[in-house]
Amino acid sequence: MSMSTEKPLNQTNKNTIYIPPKRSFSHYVKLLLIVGVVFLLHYWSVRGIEVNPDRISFERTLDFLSRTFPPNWEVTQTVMGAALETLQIAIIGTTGGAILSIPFGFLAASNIVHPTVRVCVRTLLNTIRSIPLILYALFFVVAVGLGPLAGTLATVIYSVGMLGKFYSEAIEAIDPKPVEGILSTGASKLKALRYGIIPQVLPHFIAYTFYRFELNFREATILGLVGAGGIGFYITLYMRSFEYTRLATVTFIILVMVVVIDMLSSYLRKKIT
Amino acid sequence: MTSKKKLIKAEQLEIVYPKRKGSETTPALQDISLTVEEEEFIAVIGKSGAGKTTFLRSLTGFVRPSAGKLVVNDIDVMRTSKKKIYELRRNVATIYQSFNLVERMTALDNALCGRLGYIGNIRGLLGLFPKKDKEFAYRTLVDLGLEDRVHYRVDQLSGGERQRVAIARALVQQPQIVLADEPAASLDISLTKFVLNTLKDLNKQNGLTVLVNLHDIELAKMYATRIIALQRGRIVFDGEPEKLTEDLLEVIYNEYEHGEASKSNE
Ligand SMILES: Nc1ncnc2c1ncn2[C@@H]1O[C@H](COP(=O)(O)OP(=O)(O)OP(=O)(O)O)[C@@H](O)[C@H]1O
Ligand SMILES: [Mg+2]
Repeated sequence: MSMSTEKPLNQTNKNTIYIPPKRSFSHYVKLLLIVGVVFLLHYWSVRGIEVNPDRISFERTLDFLSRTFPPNWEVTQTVMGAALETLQIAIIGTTGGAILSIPFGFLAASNIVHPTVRVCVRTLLNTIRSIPLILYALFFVVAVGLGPLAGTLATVIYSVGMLGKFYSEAIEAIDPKPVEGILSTGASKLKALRYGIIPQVLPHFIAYTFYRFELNFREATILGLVGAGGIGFYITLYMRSFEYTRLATVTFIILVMVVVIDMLSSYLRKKIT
Repeated sequence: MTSKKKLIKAEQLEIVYPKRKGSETTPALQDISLTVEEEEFIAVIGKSGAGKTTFLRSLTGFVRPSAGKLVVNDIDVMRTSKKKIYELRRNVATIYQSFNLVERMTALDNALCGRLGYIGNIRGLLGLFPKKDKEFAYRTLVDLGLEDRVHYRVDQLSGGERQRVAIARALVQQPQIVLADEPAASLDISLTKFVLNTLKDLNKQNGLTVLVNLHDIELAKMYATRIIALQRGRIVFDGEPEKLTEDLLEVIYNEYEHGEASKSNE
């Protein structure tokens, strides 16, 4: 036979005839259908957003940019104050969300609770996640009044949607062996949780929380648009009064803070795991 | 022999795992009847899938028997309360093939977990172990030759060192019985002997009762005072190592037979 062991693998049998994969007619019909649907979807969307080449004007863009430059540094102190408020909202919003997410995480983990409980909690978390942050902000502005407290509460709830899910996934991914190891000493389930599960999930919890903090700072910058505190207030203010040089300062400060926070946070995340 | 305390009594024990899709349920263990007395050193042998692990885990209530009777340390494992199971596990320590340690904790903290059965929930959760417990855990690790590894995190230790930490955790429990599930399967021969010698010493000097799952018959014969052989969930041999003949081994490890292997009880 041609299957001699001395022959190197890349020397193939020249007599073997290549048989191409068979593609049926319905295969092409399916392909056509997919292409058709994708095309129609985009046609419909482009119509909807009124894409008009005339409106995309180079001059107007240039004009706008020239009116934002140079940034007006006089407002730095005021804007910085608001930016720090956004940071405070993000810090407390993240920590509050993280604490609240711990019970949700456990209640949504298949290796901890009954499947029915898990489905209920997961559905709740999915619902929380499907509502945009700005809607929570509007709700809390009505509930607790204008100001950063509304923004903070909105951030807390919004964070739970993601962190609760991520925590539960970390819990589901644990190695059950150390847990049995702890239980085998005669420890109660509570102690097994403390010594078998927490050490395994804690680094993941912290990493996810830092990640959520990065997102929260970025997203909290728009809370001020609805009066829920932070730097967003100055975005609307300067936008409405056409003070574009001041808007540039706001943008610059957000940019710098986001970059610094992301760098710090991802550095710390790497340190943990 | 007869005056010794009976630590384990199993009668017609049967264990069936919950059915999985597309597979029929054959009991993992059936018709298991045996007694284990104080100070015995028992090796449980058998092919992979014979039910060795299932048997050991049933003794501390990690798998529930579906029929029969099982009494360990005067506790009816199948009918007792949660509290009693905790107490049972405290007195019956387990050493696992894969160590089952907490990777992100130090050797000392892992060994200290052997005391968890002795302290209350609050103390346990806060990690407030009595000083004498800490000293005991420390000394146990040192006695096992880990003096310069005590404060290392387990994920920085070698396989042999991990297994010694696992042994330390078991010993810190001050158990009456030690169950070891292939404690040396992932170790080289000198470490294997170290582990088994340690268990043998404890058995001889401290009167500890040892049940160890082994796949190596030579080791089983060398260390055990009694061998129990399982095949497809049934006991096919239970007796002194000398009585384990080549024919029987043939039966246990090569499945020619139809289950007519003779059962020789002590
Ligand atoms: N959790 C489980 N769920 C379902 N079936 C299981 C489970 N654990 C073990 N079994 C089955 O029970 C039988 C006995 O398994 P067990 O692990 O006790 O064998 P073993 O003798 O320890 O084997 P090995 O030498 O490979 O460790 C096997 O057929 C196995 O597939
Ligand atoms: Mg096994």
